[in-house]
Amino acid sequence: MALQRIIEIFWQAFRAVKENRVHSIMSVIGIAVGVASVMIVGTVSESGRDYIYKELESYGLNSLWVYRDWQEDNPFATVREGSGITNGDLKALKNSNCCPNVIAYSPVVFPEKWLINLRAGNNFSNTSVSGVGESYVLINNDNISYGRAFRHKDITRRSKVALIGSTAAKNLFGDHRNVVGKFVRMGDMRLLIVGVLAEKKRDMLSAIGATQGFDENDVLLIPYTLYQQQLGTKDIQTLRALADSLDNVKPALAQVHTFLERRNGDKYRYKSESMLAWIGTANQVLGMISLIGGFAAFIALTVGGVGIFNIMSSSVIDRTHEIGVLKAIGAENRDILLQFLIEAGLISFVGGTIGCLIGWLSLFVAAMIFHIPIVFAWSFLLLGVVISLLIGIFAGFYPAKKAAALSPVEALRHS
Amino acid sequence: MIELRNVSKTYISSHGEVAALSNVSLKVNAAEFVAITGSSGSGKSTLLSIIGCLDKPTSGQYLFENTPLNIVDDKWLAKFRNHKIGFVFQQFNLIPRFNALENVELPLVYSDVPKKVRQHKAKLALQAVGLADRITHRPSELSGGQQQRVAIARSLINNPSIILADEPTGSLDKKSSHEVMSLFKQLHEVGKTIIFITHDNNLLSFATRVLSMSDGRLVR
Repeated sequence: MALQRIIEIFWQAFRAVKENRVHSIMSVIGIAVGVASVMIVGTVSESGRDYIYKELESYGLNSLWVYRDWQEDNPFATVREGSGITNGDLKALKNSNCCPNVIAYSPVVFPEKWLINLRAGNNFSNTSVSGVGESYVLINNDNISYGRAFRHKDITRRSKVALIGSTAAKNLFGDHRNVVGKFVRMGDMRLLIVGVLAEKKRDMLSAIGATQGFDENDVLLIPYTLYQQQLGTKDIQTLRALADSLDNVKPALAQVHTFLERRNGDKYRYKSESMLAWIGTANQVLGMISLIGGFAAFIALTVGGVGIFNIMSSSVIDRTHEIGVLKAIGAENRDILLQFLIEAGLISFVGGTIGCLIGWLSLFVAAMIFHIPIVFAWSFLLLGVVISLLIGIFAGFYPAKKAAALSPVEALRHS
Repeated sequence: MIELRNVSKTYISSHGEVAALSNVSLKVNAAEFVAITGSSGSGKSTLLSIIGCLDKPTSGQYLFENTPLNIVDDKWLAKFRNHKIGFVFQQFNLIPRFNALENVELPLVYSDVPKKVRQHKAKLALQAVGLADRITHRPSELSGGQQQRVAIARSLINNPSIILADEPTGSLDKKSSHEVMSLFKQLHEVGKTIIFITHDNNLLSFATRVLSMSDGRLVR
């Protein structure tokens, strides 16, 4: 077919769509709603994935925890005191080559009562205080926004120094961001703040229950040696370690676990955890969002498609006489078919574009209101437009075919 | 120019087969001005539809310019209507969203004539029917007589061999009817072949030949 004829028929279709305003607007709305929902669902699940992953990463995706399993299987077992992990265990771990997939260890020491009342000037804060080693910041994927991390000699000399989380810093020092060099009182001990930990976001993780109600920003870290001296113990409550890669988290976990059980197995059992389980949970939640949203989008698009089908069918019936006239003056079947297909395509294209705009706009507004970083994926925009075009053309094809096949004399008789 | 040999047309309705045309044989020569009369249901419109290739005969032969027509191929028939036939209808049948010029241009769109040429030809055709000052008016802004003159301009635009008019004055008042018939007369005078259907015996005097139909047959 000559290009000129196609262009001509395109303009005829355009004018017909413009003229049948009510019909066109109805189907445009149908398609727009469908495409907007596809886009919102796609972007939300994509952004959610990104967001959760970032949060998980901020815990240290490769990090793992080992601690004593307090639930004894054997009711007749002797009651054992202690956390099950001692400085001796840590030393033995470091000296052996039991755990090739572990690149760093840090003990975590804390009393039974986590929250300690801290004081700075006239301000108080009930903050979780932990004694840690110099690798802790690396393992926990913490960033230092001011000052420095612990040094090896801070640990060996039991220096009275501390790293402070942003919430604790705010409680104790008001809005001052850089509190390095200030002192905080813990009981009758004065601790020099040498670093401030960067804030960690926990929105999604607390939504799926991964934070267990613990505010990662309301913390104070001190050398574990200092804390052990303070508490009069050589126990380590939790052993943190870092695997050399995400794939090796499981073997690393098993290596540490096995080593500890071989060393103390007749006395204690151990439990170990990693972030992997939470990645699974997060993926499940996101899969759920995608599934429900995808279903909603599918329904919306189907409704849009049925809408276009109805509109095109009734348009063919309404314009049967006109089709007869066009055929009488020389329009071929394919001219009629093309015109109605273009009409359906135009409606769905406009609907798709408006749907994308609506989707984009509502995501933008949602991002502003809820302070959620939205990842705008061009692929969803493209997908929305392509899907709407396909639906429009599929839904428009049958009525268009019917219009094209009308016998001219019968079409003319139609009024 | 046109020759029908024993052409019949049968419709299948809920009451069984209905013969709209039975064994009609007819010859129309070039430059004739033929009127067809007859009561409604006598088969006039069916005869005109078959001549114009809007409908296909059930049996019989149709020769156009001494050539039997290929009535099977829809695409060929569309081209035939586009180039050889000019239709004028009782209800004008203009496209309501197009203005007079665009309506007249329309047949040329389907014969791939460039826009500039189309517009030029359409303007000339509208001039010829006396509507040079109405080219941007839509059908709803024109009187019945004016609309029918636009329709006649449209039927002429592709320089067809024959003009077929199905009760062209059926929706018009006396004055407009006369104008339209005068237009046909002028076209006949410049050599166009015209066949028209009418109920109005006053208009028969325009024709050079009058055919009368009854029960699907031609009666002299």
